[in-house]
Amino acid sequence: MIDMQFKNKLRREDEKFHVSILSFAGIELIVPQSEIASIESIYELETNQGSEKYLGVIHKQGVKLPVYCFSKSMDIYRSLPQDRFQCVVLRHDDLMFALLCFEITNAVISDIEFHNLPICMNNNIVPLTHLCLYKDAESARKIGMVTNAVCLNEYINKLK
Amino acid sequence: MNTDDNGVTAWLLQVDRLVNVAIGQFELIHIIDKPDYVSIPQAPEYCKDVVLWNSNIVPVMSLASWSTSDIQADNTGVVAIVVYEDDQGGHKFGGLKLSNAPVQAKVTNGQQCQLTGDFDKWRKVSLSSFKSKAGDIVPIIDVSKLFSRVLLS
Repeated sequence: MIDMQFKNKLRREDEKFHVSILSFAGIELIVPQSEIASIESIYELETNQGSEKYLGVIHKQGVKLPVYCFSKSMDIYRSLPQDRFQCVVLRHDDLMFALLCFEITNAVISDIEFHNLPICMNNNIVPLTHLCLYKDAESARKIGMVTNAVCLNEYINKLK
Repeated sequence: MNTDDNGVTAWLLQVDRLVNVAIGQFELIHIIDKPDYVSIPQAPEYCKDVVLWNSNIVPVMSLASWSTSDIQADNTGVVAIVVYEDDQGGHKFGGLKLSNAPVQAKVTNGQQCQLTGDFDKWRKVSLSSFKSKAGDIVPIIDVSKLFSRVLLS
């Protein structure tokens, strides 16, 4: 059963879903476009010398936001890889943080089907809310990984 | 898998160099050669991939990786698509990574044996077990259980 609140959050007119696709390290995460607060320059990043989970901070509206960077397997990077060119600020209510990506693409998808994560792999660590089947501009149907700011934040909090 | 004196047909699936497992004749429905995996971040190492098959998102299990905890255990890229019944009585699909193409075999009651020694771990996902003609222990997999939460606990 797909969480209706989740669907409503993505849904816009005529069952079209406005999403942003965050690409990095060869993976793509699909998030609700409504949760993208802004895209900042990577040159704004103040890297962190400590052992915190976040790679650094950026300043947005007078607030320091933690900036996270993930590997293909969503492990934390503590040094800046060369393939991250965009700093995407995600927001949900008061929650705000940033992720470093290779690229962010906005898309309106009408042909999308949401699936729960198979129970045999749902270890409560996987930082996804759902999987989906969708068609992008170039391809036949493909599998997408769906997440959102709250889910990613919970995942980050669980990391040591 | 119910057997009579003449035995029943099962599929033998080679999951690594040393281990074959068996499933029922009608549980294996398709073979995919070198599928395009999508790796799910932070999923269990033995079940980190899904594939798109017939408009279904199918989780793919590496029993070699689960049984030996060897993350390099995946090998040839042959995946058996199996069908099972979930808790709600619906049909679901799962994938099993194999070392070789599956083969059919007749299994009789007389071949039944216990899961002992190195095979103890397989009790968790097995209905029963038997000795192959070569004398190897072969767990008969409970496919529904395999694709449930049982390996996560």
